[in-house]
Amino acid sequence: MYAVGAYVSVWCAKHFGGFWSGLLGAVIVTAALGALTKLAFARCSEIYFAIATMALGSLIVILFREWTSFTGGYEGLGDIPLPSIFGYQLASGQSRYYLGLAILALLLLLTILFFRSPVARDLAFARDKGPVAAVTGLKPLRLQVMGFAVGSGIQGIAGSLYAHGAGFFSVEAFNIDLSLLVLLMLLLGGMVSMYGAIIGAVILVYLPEFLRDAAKYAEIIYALAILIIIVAFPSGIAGLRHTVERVIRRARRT
Amino acid sequence: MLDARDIRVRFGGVVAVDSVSLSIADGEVLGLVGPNGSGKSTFINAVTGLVPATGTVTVDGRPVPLGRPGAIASSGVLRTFQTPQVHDELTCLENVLLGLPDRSLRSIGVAWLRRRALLRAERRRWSEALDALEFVGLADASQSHAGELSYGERRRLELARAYAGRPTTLLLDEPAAGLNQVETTGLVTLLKDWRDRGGPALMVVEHKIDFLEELCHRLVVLELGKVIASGEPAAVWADPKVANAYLGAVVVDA
Repeated sequence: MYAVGAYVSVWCAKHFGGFWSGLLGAVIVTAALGALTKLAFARCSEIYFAIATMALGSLIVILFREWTSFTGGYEGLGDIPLPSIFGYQLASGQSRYYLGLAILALLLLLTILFFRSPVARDLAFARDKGPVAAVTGLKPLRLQVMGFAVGSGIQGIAGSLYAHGAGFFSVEAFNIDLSLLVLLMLLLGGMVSMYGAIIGAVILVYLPEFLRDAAKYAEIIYALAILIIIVAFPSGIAGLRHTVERVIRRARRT
Repeated sequence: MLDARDIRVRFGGVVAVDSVSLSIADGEVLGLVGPNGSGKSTFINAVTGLVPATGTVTVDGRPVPLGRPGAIASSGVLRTFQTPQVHDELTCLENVLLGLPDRSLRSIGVAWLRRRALLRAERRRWSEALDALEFVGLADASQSHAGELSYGERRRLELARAYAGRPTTLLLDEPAAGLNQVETTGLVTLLKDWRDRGGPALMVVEHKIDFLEELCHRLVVLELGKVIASGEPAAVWADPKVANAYLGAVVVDA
């Protein structure tokens, strides 16, 4: 979805009115694609659904690699319109950073509003107890399709920001390492809260700066990190409080 | 009024429910009994669309499609489960909120754009959900997570969710299973109170005979997927076929 967002955004930006139309196009297309994905794999249970979406992701990347007239393949896409606000072009990297920050803040606000609304609770019920939710009168499929559309739309925004922030990119940017990195961000930060994702992202973006000498061992370090987190801190940094509490409780009991 | 005609459920070569026809009048309390494996729960699952079945179901004359989970919920027919199905990570209040029939202002667009209207609607819903918790005696636990409750309390929470849904017919699948004598008596009092205040029609699958005698207007006995007796409780218990179904081998041996 990230890749789709990036390419669709560039295409729209070049054919319509610049960055903002690109962003809008990316959101619409990725949200629709997310909804369709959920519909198509509606009968898959959790783990199979995860596998199916990963397979679909790989397929999309292969498609983009071969469809060079649209994506440029490994050659990449250049001349990407830079974002502009009220006619001012955000030419410096710093100004684009602030644009990204502003959009992050907006998305965080939308996420908070989402979590403090009845939809979040209906969706949790639909996700964890689908058939029960159905006989309670909810529409689990509709809810999940909606949730998936929103999540995909946010990924589309990320892709669009990446494309217009970088100014140039090729299909190389969307390799499996990126998926793993994002997964590690979520695991490390913790999926119990939306702040987990931010904590994880900040750490994993800055960590390589400090560990430059260890760069060649990066893959080993990432792999070990994933294992340790899954075994010892299943709820990540944001869930550390829970983990610590649980350990203390267990220690007291014995 | 719920009317089910010729309901048939097959699991592979086994006919679990064999052309069962049942109807419940408004406000009637019907006990569905029979030995283990006689198809009582499967019948409820069929009517609520959780297992594939053939036959016709109408509610107040309007047909309800079979095989679609929860299709019947929009006609006001709700159910509970043999093991209480509540969402452990939500609070009791939130669990009940899930069941409220008022589905307005629950979409994601409302969560983002119409906060004021949403909060007003939520406040109204909270008080309604609290009434339901009050009814089952869990008002004090409204902010506790459902996962912290005892088994009996989870049963009552599930009942509160159904109560909040203001059903016209409620299907109870072994509501007293796993409850001790005190809890069972409490549940009977609760259901009688609801019945006498003009509550919904109830279909109760249950093994505890005193439970049924206190509550039911009529009993239907299933054996091996077929109705073998139906009528006033006293007459049904006197029916030799019923004694045979429950104690078959013993009677023959004697």
